Amino acid sequence: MPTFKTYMRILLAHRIYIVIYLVIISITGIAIGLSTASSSSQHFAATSSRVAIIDRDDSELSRALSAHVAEGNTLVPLADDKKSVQDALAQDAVSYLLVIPKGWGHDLMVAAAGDGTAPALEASVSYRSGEGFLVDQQVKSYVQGLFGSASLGGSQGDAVRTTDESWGKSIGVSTIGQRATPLPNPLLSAALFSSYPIFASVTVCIALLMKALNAKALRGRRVASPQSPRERNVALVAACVCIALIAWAWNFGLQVTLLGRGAIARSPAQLGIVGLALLTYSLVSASVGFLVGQLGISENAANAVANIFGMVLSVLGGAWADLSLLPDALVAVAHFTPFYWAYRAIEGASAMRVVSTSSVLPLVGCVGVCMLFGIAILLVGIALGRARTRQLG
Amino acid sequence: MPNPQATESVTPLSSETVVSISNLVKRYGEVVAVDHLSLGIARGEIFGLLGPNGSGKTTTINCLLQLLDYDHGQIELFGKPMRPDSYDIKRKIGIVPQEVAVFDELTVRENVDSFCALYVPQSSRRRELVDRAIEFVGLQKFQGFRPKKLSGGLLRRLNIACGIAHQPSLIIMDEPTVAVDPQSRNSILDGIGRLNRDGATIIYTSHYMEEVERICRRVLIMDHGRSVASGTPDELKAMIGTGERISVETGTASEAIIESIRMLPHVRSVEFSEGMLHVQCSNGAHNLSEVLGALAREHVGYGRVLSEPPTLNDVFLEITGRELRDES
Repeated sequence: MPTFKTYMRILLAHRIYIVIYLVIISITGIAIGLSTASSSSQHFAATSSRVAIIDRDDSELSRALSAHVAEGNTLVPLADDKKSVQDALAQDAVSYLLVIPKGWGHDLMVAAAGDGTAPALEASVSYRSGEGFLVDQQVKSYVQGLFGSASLGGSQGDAVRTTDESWGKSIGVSTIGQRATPLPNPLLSAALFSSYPIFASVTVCIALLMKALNAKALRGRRVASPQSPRERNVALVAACVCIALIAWAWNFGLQVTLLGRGAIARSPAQLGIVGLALLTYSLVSASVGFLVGQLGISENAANAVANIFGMVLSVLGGAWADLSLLPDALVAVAHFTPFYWAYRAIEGASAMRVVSTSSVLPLVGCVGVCMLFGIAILLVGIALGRARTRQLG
Repeated sequence: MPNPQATESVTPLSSETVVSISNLVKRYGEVVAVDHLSLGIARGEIFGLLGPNGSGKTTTINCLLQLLDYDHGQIELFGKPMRPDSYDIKRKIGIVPQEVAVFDELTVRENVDSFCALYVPQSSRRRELVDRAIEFVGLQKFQGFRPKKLSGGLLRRLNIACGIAHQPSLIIMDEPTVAVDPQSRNSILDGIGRLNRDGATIIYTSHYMEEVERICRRVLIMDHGRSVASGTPDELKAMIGTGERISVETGTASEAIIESIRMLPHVRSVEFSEGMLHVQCSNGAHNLSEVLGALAREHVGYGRVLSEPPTLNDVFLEITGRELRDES
């Protein structure tokens, strides 16, 4: 215990790195998560476009078409003169302007009864957005419906009724049973980003601790003491795990507290997998720190390694940009990096719709692969340490 | 000239042997760092281990502490064989390494406490020991300082405090006064004397012969991994047959004068440099009067006359040679 306390005191002496890597960069990650909150929503609302209709025909068909366009959109009143029409389009007052020419209803009925085509409408679309095109598509579909109904015979009123009936039936709405709630986007973004502060803080802290412990004169003093190698190793492992736990608890705690408090009750399983993946990656970072420490590199070199490798692993793991944006060759390389597997577990958990053994097990498998990287790196570190000890002896 | 008897086992003065090394051999490939070294140190001794750079002193100490494997020989401490897992023995040993071995990240007090904790796990008992160690080396005012804020002398004192806080019975000090100002050195040497009076057995290595002569009761001189001479400082001085060193201010000295002095009985060498005539004598009753008489016979006037008795430094140079080791 006293040895463990000594190790923690040594770490606290390097508190500047804890502040920079753990606190400041983690908070940056939270800010990035918060910024994604405004651009995403769990609720869908249909867009309402500003439309103007000039009905010069005033037939049953034209009135039905006008009503159809007005439904779900915002109708902007517009005088039927050339200047008003030009101003509305030039000043982007409307996204879609429909002019129904005089005689359009009659012409459509005639064309439908014969072999003609539906008469043209005058439509203008705003140059600023694509909303107008969507409304235009809607208009064309409805006119197509009217034309088809009119071809069956009957009056304009009959054609409108038939069209409206079939239109109403054509959109079937069904609710998909969702047995699990996805994790909020901000939490996901912050969790992925935290791979960098976790890796950098844990690696630097452990590398500096080991640099202090492996100084030749100090090492001699410790080895000559009555403390057994086992006691020393247990204290070192405890300190490394403690550092990893602190980095994980700080990052994951902040993420859950600030960005995903609701998920504790709504999506505990998914949250648990995200937490497990980050914890595993923290332990992998600890093993990297252990390896770097065994190399006996300087403080500056430890910082360089932590930053460069931390960023590379985060990028290859998909933390900063979706992997689909990376070249195939890089994605292939990413398979051989630990965070890629943690990323897969986090992504999979956040998108999970149904919590079941079959959906959870593959993600746990990804976490396991990530852990294997940690074990492999740790073993290399131990082998390196033994080689150095033999060299010193 | 090395004394052939010196290569044999060095027996301690007291019957209670704390350190016993027999036929220790340590090789680094083809290089024999320690070559069949044997020595014994009694309880309560301050034992000086001397030798030029690369003579095997530190290797011997590292073997003693089981920091190094060795090829042959036996090491016993406190009457028990010393092994890497002899934790009960290690508990009684304190080491003050040549290089200052403290944590830069910890304060003076935290450093002393952390090394003391390797030997004394109970924090309540440790507190008292740490207080005593800090007081012993006079670092009370610097308890909250980090090592980088301390001067060289204070750092050395901290290095000592870290090695003695647990009140060991055997203290191994490897050149503890290197690069220390005279005041701090004096304080450190006084402290070593006090530790010894409190009952600690001390193994002391140093390049400063006057320090060894001042504090060590017995001395072993190593060279090329072997023991080349051992005994009390007086025994060593007698062993080499070196007498006093006479320096006479003459202004000038002709070859004839130098030759006439060289012919005197008990004169081993004569040198003239910068107006001073230096005469190294072997043991003899009237060396000074004979040298001055020779100058008078040649009508050479003289000013200051110095006659210095042989020192351990003379013994060291006589036995290990005067050539520069690091350049050879």
